[in-house]
Amino acid sequence: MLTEVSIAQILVNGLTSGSFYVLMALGFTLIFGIMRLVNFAHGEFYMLGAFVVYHLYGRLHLNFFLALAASAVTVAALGAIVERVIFFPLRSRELSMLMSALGLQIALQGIIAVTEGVEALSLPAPVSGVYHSRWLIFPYDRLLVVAVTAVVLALFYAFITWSKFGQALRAVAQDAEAALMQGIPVNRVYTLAFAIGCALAAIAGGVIAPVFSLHVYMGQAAILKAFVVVILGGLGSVPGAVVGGLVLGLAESVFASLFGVLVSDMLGFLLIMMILLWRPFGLLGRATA
Amino acid sequence: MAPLLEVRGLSKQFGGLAAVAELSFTVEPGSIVGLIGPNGAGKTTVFNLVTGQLAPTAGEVRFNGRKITGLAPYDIARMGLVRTFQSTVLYPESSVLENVLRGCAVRSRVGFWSGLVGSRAAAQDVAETHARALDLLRFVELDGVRSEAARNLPYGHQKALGIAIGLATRPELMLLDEPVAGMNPEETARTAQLIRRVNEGGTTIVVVEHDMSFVMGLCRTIVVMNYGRKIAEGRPDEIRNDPAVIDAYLGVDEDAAAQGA
Amino acid sequence: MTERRESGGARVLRGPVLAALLILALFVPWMFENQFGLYLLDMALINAMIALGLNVVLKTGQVSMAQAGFMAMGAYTSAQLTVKLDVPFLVGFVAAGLGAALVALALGRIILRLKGVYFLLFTFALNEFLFLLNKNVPALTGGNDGVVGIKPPTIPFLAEPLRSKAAFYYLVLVVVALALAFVWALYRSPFGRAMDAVRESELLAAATGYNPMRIKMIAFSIGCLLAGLGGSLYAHFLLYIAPFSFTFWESVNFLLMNIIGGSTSLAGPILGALMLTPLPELLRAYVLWQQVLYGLTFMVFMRFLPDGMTPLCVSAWRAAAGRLGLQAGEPASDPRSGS
Repeated sequence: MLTEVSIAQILVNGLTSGSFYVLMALGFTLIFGIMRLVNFAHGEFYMLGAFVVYHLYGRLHLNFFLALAASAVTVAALGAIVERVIFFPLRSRELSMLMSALGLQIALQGIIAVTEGVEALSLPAPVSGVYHSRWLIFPYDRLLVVAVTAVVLALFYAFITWSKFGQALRAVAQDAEAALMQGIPVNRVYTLAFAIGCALAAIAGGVIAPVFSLHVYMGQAAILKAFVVVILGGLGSVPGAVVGGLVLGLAESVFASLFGVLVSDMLGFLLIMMILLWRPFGLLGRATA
Repeated sequence: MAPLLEVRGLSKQFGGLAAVAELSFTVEPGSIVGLIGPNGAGKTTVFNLVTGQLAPTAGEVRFNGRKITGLAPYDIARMGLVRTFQSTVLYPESSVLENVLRGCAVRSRVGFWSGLVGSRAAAQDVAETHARALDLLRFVELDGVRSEAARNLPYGHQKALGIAIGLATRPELMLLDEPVAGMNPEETARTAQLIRRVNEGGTTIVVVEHDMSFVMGLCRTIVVMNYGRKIAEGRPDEIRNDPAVIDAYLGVDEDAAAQGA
Repeated sequence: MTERRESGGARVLRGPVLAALLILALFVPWMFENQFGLYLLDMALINAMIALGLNVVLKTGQVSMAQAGFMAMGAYTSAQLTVKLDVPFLVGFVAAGLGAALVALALGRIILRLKGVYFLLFTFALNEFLFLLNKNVPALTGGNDGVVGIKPPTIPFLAEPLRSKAAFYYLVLVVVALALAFVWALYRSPFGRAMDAVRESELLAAATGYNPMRIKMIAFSIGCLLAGLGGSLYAHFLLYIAPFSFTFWESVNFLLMNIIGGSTSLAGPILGALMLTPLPELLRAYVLWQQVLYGLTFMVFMRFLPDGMTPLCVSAWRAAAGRLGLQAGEPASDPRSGS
């Protein structure tokens, strides 16, 4: 099998799917890092982002990137409301927050299933065309995903490092009590973090939707991948999400070409279990309380 | 008489920092020993090392002649060495009585299956445990609030409950980590009295504390630490006049004056 | 507040009430006109068994998302033993439980040291991994097609296998009653006290002589034992099993049963199972709304009813009993404030 597919192809496939994973896992790990919440509903915000883009770009023919931005803002706003109403009252009860996230996941999926139906929908690709060479074949819309991921990462890095909000976020992630004593409005930071996490999920959904089809259950597969990435890279670590995503993408690509897709799916979960046992804080995370 | 507790050359390194360095001291049975030193001297770390919560980088600890370094905390507790925590650790949602009952249960000799089927031996054990728990509560003057949830107790009572739970395990040696921290003089005196009564009952005590008058008044032997090392050991009057000790505590004040004021 | 005397639910179920319930239970099959109601009841009791197992694990403070996975282990063990090797039902049943318990024991040693959310995530991954394993190893599990032609249970002294839903009902009833009795005794025993201690403060428990790992391992094994037995019953009731019956969402369901019924009392998982099992059927016309309802219920309970329904049911019962002039155990005092 290896002879039919070039190594370059495996690498490129791995890196592109790796970028998908990074984009999906970014918001997830951010929310855990700041709020210590495993956001089971992350996949549904991803799915919501895809549906907003579907309506704005697919149905109303708005410019794709405008639709993407609008989607991020809308879902972020929803996320902020959700955080205030559902998670804020449960702030000190970690397990209850987690269960509520689970409940939110179920409810959101149900609501969208009722309003949008359960059929798969397709979106036209924002960029078309395929790159052909002797060794490589890949469609440009996947390249777009890689490009968006890179841009998002750059913007996020800039935000975290240089903006006031970003610094507040970092302070709260390190030590919420200390941040509180420094006068940082920790509650508002939590809401902001959750909103940003949801926005990132929405962008991921919106940009991946034209590549694969979109349907109300697409969040399920996404969050499973996000789980693997985030545990690999370390719960709460943004660089970890990048490394984890790329590592997973490459590992899957290699395994898929050697053993087939089914085995590579199992690989993900085996990896989670091993990492949790050996290095629960992942490849790059820290052992925080 | 052989010492109850022997600490020999105990060391603990955290990366480049030596939290405890080659510490050695002994505790005679029946005594009350004070372990003092400026903040960060390593006193709580010593407790963590002795009770198995932390593994030492070097050295050993012997209890009743047996080497206990490397054993798990629950094993050490069962052997008769128990500690209280600096930040009060209780079973917050359970009643005061239940808290103490859980401490007592460890000494019961009823096996898993016997307890499961509710044999006569098990029932008897339950009655005895219950009686012993009530005695303990009376001893620490908490029997009036026995049904109160532990987290609802005022601070001083929580500390007393912590001691009661430790006592429930019938220890030979109790390590008390800052038992009067944050207490007013009245509460401090009451706690000192309680500790004396515990000691008179046959339990050896080692106390870590910052309150000087409390330590000087209570302990017959004092060990002084600074930067992880022992700098002095002896009776209260010896320690009070020891130049190394004065230097350690004064040094702290000097540093504070130079930096802050 | 955890008072170690019996919880409100158990206090109500004393003497005459318990006897009345038991007698009532014997006559249940006659109360059902249609077979479907009986089918739901049987399924509810099977679920109650597995939810009860999860309750034991929850009692030591570990939240397991793999209960469906262990149920699957039991189901496949029992199914394959009886179908492929023609082993009698009781042997398959016992093997199912023991097999699941042994796996739990072996895994427990390494995974029970994981704290809080990390343990939960591991069991989540384990459940998914087992699900994919079931799909991909046809030799062992029949792959996606599952195992068909499972035979109804046979009891040694009965000539006929238990083909009818009513007959099966008595079997499940006995098994669940035995399991309940065992867990009840466990919770009242010194070991039950140890479980509570480890859940509330592992640090203090260890510092005063409890061995948390041993306690959690025993609890985890018992919990998975019950899941395995439940799985076997499931297989021999539906007579067909496939991987899709044992996904992460089934695990979530068992957790939800404990949450809604209340995880602090024994009645909780039973109540939760009895309430949640018929729900998909009752709302069959509104499958998607059912999902919304599920999710909303989850969130509402986590926020406002963390102890589940049992305290509400107990107060309602007491109010009714009081009005009717019946004695309902000890005088009303909220178990949470204790007296």
